[in-house]
Amino acid sequence: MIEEKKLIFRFKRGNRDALRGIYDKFKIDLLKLAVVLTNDVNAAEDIVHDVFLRFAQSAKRFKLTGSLKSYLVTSLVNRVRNIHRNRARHNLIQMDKADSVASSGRSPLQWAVLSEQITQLSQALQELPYEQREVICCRMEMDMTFRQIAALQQVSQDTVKGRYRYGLTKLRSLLNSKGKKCNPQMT
Amino acid sequence: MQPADDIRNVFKQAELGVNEQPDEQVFEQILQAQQESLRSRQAAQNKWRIIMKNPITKMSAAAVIVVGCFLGHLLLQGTDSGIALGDVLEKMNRIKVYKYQINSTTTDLQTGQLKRETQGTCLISADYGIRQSTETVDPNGSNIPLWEHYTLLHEKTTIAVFHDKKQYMQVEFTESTFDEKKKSASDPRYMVQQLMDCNYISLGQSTLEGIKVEGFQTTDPKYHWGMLGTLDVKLWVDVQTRLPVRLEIASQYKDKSKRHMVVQDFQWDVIVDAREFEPNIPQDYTSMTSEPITMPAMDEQSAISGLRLILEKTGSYPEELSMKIMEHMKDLIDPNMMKQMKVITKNGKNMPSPEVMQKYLDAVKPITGLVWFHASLVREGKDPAYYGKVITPDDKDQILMRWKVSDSEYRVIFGDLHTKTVSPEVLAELEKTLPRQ
Repeated sequence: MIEEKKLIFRFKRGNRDALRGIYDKFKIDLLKLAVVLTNDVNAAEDIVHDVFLRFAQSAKRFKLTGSLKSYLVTSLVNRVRNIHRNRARHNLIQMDKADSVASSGRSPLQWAVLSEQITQLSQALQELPYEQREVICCRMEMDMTFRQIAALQQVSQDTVKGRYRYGLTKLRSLLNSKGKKCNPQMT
Repeated sequence: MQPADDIRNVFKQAELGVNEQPDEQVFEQILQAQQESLRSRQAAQNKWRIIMKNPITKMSAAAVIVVGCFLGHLLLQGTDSGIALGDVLEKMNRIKVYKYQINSTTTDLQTGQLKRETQGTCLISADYGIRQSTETVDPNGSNIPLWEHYTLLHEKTTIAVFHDKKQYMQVEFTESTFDEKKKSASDPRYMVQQLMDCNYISLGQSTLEGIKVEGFQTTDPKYHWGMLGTLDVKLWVDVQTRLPVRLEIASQYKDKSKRHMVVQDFQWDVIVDAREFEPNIPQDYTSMTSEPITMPAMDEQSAISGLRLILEKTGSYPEELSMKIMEHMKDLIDPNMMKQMKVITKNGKNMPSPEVMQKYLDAVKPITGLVWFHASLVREGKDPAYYGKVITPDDKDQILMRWKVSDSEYRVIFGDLHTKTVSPEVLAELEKTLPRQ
């Protein structure tokens, strides 16, 4: 935590290495989170890029009240929710019902490189209601506590636990039914 | 609750990597955003400190903050998309090729009559440059080709082809002057950047041609160095794509004329062929100058040359270093040459000879260098200050112009045009002795 505070202190003074440190520390986790939440790698790249850009633009006025990870995740999740809202509002194909675009139309010069496993996981997660997916992904990918997720979703911890339980059961069943080839050890 | 180790394992195995090259590009963009944010914030803070020293300002500012918060709250309620202009610009910069339409009308304010109506297309490519074609509409409603303008990135050259005069002009740039040249007043990227640098307001959301848009507006006179006179700039951004849908500039030059320019019909990521950027100069067209024009470097020497020229011609330094200096060109250039050049502004048909044109452009070069150098200092956040309103050539040890070189150094041009590098502390002492403006 003290290390993080030092990093933020230097970042606020325009230190390149501090920004580099923050960027390298969180970029992969944030990209993964965005991919599994959206099942759209292009949108995920845009979202993470935007999260870091906004963060960088706020350098001078930035004040951290919790952890940097929570701040970045909240920023990312808000953007994912905006995309959902906008798509629904414009009556376009809903992200969670759309076919996966995770591996289509990608050139070697694009930012994120996905493994087969993340593509499959991401597709399976789209079958879950968005709120459940958010809970599972924040818990599994970012190691967030139920309390932190409850604050993020602005619901009670019990609600979060309920979403987590239902989400896990459904995801387990989906992954099993989609074939043991995804994960043969699955029970 | 059931153990979730199996699912946790699936998440762990779901790996994701990044390609090095785009990863570096993303980081550089983020770094740039951080640096820009710190620079602009610093400039704003400096101004804020000076203003807040005045007790009356303090009271007024308190009232403004309260009203501002209230208005801000209302605005936030009305604009749930929360579009940031920085995002719009950033997104535009990521698009390699795009095309748009520019329509413009100029009305004579004395007679109320339409002086000129033009329409044109502009193609911008990150690889090749900019090509703009403009036509005018004659009283019968026919379109007459007026001019074409090419900005060629690889050659760092611009070529303007004037169809009505059957002439063309080629201008060659250095690296730094070319960057400045690219900021055309009608380039949407530059328009968005200018808007960001001015005081602007949100116009909330609306629908334009069936597209949900969010509007931004500025009437800040410093837009485009104040060269456009009184103005009203509006930008409408697609809430979904965060890209411009329409840009409008209504400007009025003194009481003489008003102009209304609309940039619209954007096409993003269009396919482009290098041949579209090959200047099309018909065989019978002649060059306006005897040789290609070269632009002055944007450096200290150019600035001093410009200041010296103005001093020699007028006996004093210009009050400000904006493009407005160009309005006083008649005082700065040899009267005989000016007489010959007047035919350009009064009657475009009788063009001066290429030699006269060349002489004129060579004569104004130091002034252009001065103005552009100052503009580049402003753009790069080098904390420039210019005191031409109060400093004369007799003020040998007083600061005429200064800018930041590094955190511990400022470069200063003094009243007699000698230069020196000083520390911020020495600079502060020198500025204390400046006559009151």
